[in-house]
Amino acid sequence: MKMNVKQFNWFALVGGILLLILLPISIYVSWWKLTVGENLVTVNASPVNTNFNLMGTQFSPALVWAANLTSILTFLACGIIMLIYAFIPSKPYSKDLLSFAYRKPLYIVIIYIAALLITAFITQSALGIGVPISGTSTIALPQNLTMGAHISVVISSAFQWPFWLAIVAAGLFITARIYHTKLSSSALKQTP
Amino acid sequence: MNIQSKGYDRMKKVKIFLTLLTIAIVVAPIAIEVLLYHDNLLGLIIPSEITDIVTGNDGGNSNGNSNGLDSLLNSEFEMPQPVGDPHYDPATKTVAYTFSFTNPLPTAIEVDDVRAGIISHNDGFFIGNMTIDEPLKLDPGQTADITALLILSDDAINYLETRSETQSSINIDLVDLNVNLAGLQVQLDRQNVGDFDIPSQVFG
Repeated sequence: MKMNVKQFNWFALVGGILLLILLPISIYVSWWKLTVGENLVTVNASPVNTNFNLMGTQFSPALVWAANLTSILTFLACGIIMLIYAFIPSKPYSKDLLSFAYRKPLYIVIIYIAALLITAFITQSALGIGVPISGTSTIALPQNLTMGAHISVVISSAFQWPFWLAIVAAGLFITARIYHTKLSSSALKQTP
Repeated sequence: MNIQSKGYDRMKKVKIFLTLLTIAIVVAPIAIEVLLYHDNLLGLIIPSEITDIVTGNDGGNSNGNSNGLDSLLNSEFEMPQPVGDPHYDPATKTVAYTFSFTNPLPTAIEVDDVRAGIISHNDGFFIGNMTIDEPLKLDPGQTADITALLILSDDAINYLETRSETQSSINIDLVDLNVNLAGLQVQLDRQNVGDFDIPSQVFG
């Protein structure tokens, strides 16, 4: 079988490779990190690995672990399927491969940001603790939680570079979909 | 079967495969967790480490070490114990109290600063200001002596001299206590800390 490199979907190829590289990186480097005090509490959150460290005790709720596993499998499947599609964008079933893969990374990024915002909102509403999504702030714990003591602590949080890499990968997947339309129309033009 | 129907057949198979894959990816992890936690569905949301802390169970692992919060909230956490007699330096009018403290946590404790006013619990007389002599860093399990310095005013010296004629210790409160613990700033308006020895070499 002769392959025509002009017919490859390069955006899908680069996006697929990027997503498969991003996956192991995100397990070790979180997308977002929150630090309370001098590492009294740390939260490492990414769709593939979210864990909490409370004064040396590390834990992750089982439901969060299940969501992380879903994201790992989704990234893995989307990356592999996008790579397969990238080489055969003009096959009859290629559109199905593309449709399966191109939206999911973007959905995961959007759900991840929404989950962060919702968690910050709930923490503010229920506990009165304003957690910054990005930046540093000093917060005072409500005195009903501290037995009358005034307790304040510096909280800092930041998105880390794998988060921005994920946005690039999701963008490439969307671009691959747009490029697919261009490839299809040029293929149609070439058909006698 | 012609080429077109072969292609259609393959397309159909790919579609079915991708649909099944989507369902498996979404359902399988949650199904596994629900099966694992079928007798304790709350455990899906609240980790066992948190449950142990709330219920007071031993959160220890197999080699006998317990988790940090458990150590803090249960019996492994001990208040600093006085070491020897307090020492008074008349030149600086400073009483030095030494305490021994063991870090029960699996992480280092850093106390950058402790400051408080000391008053008599019974009559509210202001005795002096207390601070620690240097910032403190304790590794997990490490025991160290902490020296608290109490700077006395002339009135406080007279007050303690009078008290030392009838009693060997005095019940004190810490007021406006400020502790900087690893970035956590704790401030207490008033806290009773019990009886403290009046240094016998001066006031005894």
